[in-house]
Amino acid sequence: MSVAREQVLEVRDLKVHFPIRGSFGRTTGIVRAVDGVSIELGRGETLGIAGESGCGKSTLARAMLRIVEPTAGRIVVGGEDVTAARGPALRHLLKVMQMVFQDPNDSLNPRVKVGAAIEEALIVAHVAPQDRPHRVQEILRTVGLPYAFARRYPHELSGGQRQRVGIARALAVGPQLLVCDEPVSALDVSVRAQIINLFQDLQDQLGLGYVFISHDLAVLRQMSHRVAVMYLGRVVEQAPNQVLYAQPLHPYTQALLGSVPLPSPKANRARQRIHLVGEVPSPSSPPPGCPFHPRCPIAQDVCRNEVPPLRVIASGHHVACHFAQANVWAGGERVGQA
Amino acid sequence: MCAIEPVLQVQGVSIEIPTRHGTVHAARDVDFALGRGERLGIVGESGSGKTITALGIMRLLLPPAHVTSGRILFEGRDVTTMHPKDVNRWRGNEVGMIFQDPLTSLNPFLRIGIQVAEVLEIHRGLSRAQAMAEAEQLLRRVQISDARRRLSEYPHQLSGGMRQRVVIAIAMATRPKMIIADEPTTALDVTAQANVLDLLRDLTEAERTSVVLITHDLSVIADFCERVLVMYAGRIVEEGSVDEVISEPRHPYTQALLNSIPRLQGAVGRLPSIPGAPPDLTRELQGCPFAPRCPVAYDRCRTEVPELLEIGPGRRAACHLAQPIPSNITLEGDLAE
Repeated sequence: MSVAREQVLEVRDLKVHFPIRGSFGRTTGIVRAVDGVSIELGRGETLGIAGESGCGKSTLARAMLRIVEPTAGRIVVGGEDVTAARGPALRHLLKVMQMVFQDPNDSLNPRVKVGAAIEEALIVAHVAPQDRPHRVQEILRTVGLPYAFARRYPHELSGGQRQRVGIARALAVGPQLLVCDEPVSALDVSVRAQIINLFQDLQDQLGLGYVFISHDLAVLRQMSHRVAVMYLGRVVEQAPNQVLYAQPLHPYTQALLGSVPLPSPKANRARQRIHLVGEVPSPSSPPPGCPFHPRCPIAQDVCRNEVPPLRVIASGHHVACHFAQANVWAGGERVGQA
Repeated sequence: MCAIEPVLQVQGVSIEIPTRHGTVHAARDVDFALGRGERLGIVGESGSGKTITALGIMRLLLPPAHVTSGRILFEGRDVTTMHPKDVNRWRGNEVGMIFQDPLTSLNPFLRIGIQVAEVLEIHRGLSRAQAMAEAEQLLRRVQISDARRRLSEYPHQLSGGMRQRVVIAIAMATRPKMIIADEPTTALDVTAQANVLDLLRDLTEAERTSVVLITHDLSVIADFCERVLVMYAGRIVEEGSVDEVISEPRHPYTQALLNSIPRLQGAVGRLPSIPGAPPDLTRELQGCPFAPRCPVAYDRCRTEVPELLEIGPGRRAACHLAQPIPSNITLEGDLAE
C-alpha cells in the first residue's frame, strides 16, 4: 500500500520494557509495555493504531518521540536512525516529528498566552525574531483560528479551540509527521468532527504523515489509510482500512469490532454482539504462546506454546494468528472466564 | 411517552448556578416521565444539562447550584420538598447510582466485600455474616469470577470493567426501583463496555428496574435504551423512541449530531461537522439556542424560543420547523427500512 511512497518513519522490532522495582530498588519483574513492534509510514499517510488500555499504544508513541527510552529495536525517521540520538540529532528528530496529546492542557502552560506558546516552539526551531509574529499568525490561520486568539489564555478557549492550539504548536517547527495520541477523545461529538476534518485538511495541504492512536475504531476508520491493532504490547493485525474493517482475520480484531455499539438500534439488533470475556493479562506476566489465547474461541495447543509471528496473508495484510480466519465468533458462545 | 405507571415525573425543572460571571442556566424547564422498567437515555454534549438534571433529581446538587422551579415526583412523592433524612433513605433504598469513574464510588481503603456488605447492612438490616454471604452472591450475579476471593480484595486490584461491575452490584443491592447511570461505560474499553451494558440490561430487566442512562454517545443509547431525550444548552430539544429519533430525527441538532458520528460501516467521506460551539449558558435565551449553528434557521428562530411540542405519538421536538404529525399518518421512514 505504502510501497511507492517516500517513507518517513520506520520502526523495527521496538521494545520498551520497564523494570518493576521492589524493596531496596531491586528489580523484581519486567513490564513488557511494547514487545517487538514494527511499523512504517509513508509521506502523507495515516497509520491508525487501535487497542484497549494497557496494550502499549501510548508507550509506543512516547518511545517513537524518545520521551521514553526504547529497550531494543530501531527507529528511523526521514532516513536517519534516531534510536539513540542525542543533542543536535535529537533536536532534529523533534523538528521532523511532533506529538499531539489527548488533553491539550497537558502541553499548554495555563499562564502563557496562545501566541507566546506558539512562539516558544518557533524559537526552538530557530525562526528569526522579526519573522515570528507573522509565523504565529500564519500557523493560527492554518488551524482555523483568528489572530486575535494569540492574546488569549488557554482557559479562555473551548476544548476544540484548545486542541487547535495544541496542533498549531506541534506544526510550528514544520514537522513532516505528527504522532497523535487520542487527539479527539476528550472532545464533544459535534466538535470532534471539526478536528477530524482539520487533521485531514492539514494532511492534504502539508503532506503530513500521522501515526493516529485511538481506542475508537470508527474514528480510526475515518482517519486512517492503514490500521494496526495492538494487544499486550504487540501488533496482532495490520491491514489497509478497507480490508481490516471488511475482513478482519484476527479473533481479537473481530471481538473489538463486534463490541462497538453502532449508532443505529436496528443495526445493533441485527448483528450478534461478541462477548470478549476475561481480562487482558498483565504485561509483566504475559501468557506463554499467543498473548490472546486465554480469551480466544479457536485456541489450540499450538497457541498455548508458540507465539504466532506476524504473517503476510495478502498484500499489506499482516496477522499474528496461527489460525487466521474470518468470523471465528460466529457461534457467539462465551469462552474464557469472567 | 410512558403510558403506564410512571416511576419518575420531572415537571418543569430549572436549575441555576450563580457564578462570578453571571447565573448559569444549567437546566431550563426540563420535563419528562420515566415508566416502570423503562430504559431512558439522555444524550447531550458537555454543558447540555444532562448530568446536572440527574443530580437535581437525586437531590445531589452542590450549592450554589439549585433547583429554581419545578417538581420531581418519585412514585407520586415530591422529592424536591422531602426532608434531608428522608432523602437519604429514599436514595439508599429506592434508587441506585452508577457514575463514570467507579473509583469515585468505591473507597480505595476498604475491601470490596465490606463495601457491598455495608449497603446490605444499612439498607436491608442484615447482619455482617448474612451481608457478606449475600455480597458474594451479588458479585456472582455481576459475573465476577472467583467471587469469594474478590471479597477480600481492594478496588485497585480489579480491572476497570470489574470495578464498574462491583458498583453495579452495590447499586442493585437494595433492589432499587430506579437506576441513574451517568456515563457508566465512558471510562471503559469497548469490550468491557459491551459486557457492562449487557449486564445492566439483564439485571434491570429481571427486576423491572427503570434506568436513566446519561451519555454523550448516541451509539450507547442506540444499543441500550428504548426512549431518548436529546438535550442542548440545558433544554430537552427532542424526545421519542430510540428507533424513531435515530431513523427520523426531527430536530436539526439531533440530525447534525447523527451525521457527525464516524461510522464502522458504509462509505467513508468527509464528516459533516457542526460549525461553532454550544452557546454561553449565562445569557437569557433570545431565540432557539441552536439557531447560530443551525443550517435551516430562519428569522423566527433568532427571536422566538421554540417550545417543546408534541409532534406525534410519543414524539416531542423544540423546533419551529418540526410540524406536528397528524395522528392518522404513520412515520414512513421507519417502515421503509
